[in-house]
Amino acid sequence: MYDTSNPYKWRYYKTVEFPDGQWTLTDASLSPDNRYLAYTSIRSTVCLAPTDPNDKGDPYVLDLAASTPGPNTGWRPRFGGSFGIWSVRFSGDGRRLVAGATEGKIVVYDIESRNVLHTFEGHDADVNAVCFADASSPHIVYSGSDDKILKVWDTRSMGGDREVGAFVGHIEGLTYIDSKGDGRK
Amino acid sequence: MKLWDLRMVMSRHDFKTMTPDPRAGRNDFDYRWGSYDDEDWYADRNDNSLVTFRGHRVLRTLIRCHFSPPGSTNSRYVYSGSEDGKVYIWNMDATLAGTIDVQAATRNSRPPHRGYHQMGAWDEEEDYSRSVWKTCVRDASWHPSAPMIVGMCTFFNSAA
Repeated sequence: MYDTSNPYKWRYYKTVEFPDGQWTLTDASLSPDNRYLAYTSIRSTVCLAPTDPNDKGDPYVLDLAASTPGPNTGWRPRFGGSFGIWSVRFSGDGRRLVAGATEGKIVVYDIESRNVLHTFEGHDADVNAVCFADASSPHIVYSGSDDKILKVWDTRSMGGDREVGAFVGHIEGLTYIDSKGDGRK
Repeated sequence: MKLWDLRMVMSRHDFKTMTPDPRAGRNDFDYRWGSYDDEDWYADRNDNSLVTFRGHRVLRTLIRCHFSPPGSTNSRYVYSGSEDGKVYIWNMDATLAGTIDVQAATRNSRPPHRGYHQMGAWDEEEDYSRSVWKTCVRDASWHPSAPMIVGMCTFFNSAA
């Protein structure tokens, strides 16, 4: 981690690890209050590390494969109950994470209660990109996949694996999504 | 890279009943080790996007794109990394606003080595004096206030 208060002179201050990570780190997302970094490997866990330079503690390890019963949790284990995460984002209020994973899986997780809120088989291929909509629509999640489709999900009405809509047009897989944050693009 | 208006979303019903473009799914392209010819690009007939931005190369790794920051630029640009070692910056009407050639700026700034995705053993006999410096810009991040873009890149040498 680097302190970039002076953007022309970065100052390195600490390194955090992903215990038992596989192959590579796939994504990292900073919490809206800048206090935590969530980062992923090709595992079904998310590491949460404090950005405080004085906090030298180990990262928290959140298990997104935990089959905690929650509303609309349709988790069915494949590959021995584990999967690999490609992408992770905080919600606008910093209380939730959304992760996109192998085998079309999307997971919404509540950080404070350590509960999986929603798990769905959203796509026909790896979910390389996920994001929450802008802060005024915290229940809306977007996902982009190697199946070439960008889908929209509403956590208030997740009956099974039913997207509320789709954005079509890419002729190869989606690698990333960014939201302008104005509720329109 | 595509820009969608969120209000123009295709309904679940229309998505489930749409007829796929006949040109879709006809290749076994894999971005990790494949390549493509720009001539093979087509506008999918079910496309509901507003704008398509072209010119960059989405290959080797999961290349990332972003809106420019709201504060210093009023989010008026979009930008992306690219496998050809550049950062591409577009206006919202898909015209190119500029590129940053990271590959040229960093050429031979490190000792030669092979990229991880180039399969096969490192050949000690190979003459790297004739190899070519390559850069892949996986991600870029526009500073929220300073006139600066940070690129996240891999550097490797490719046989000439």
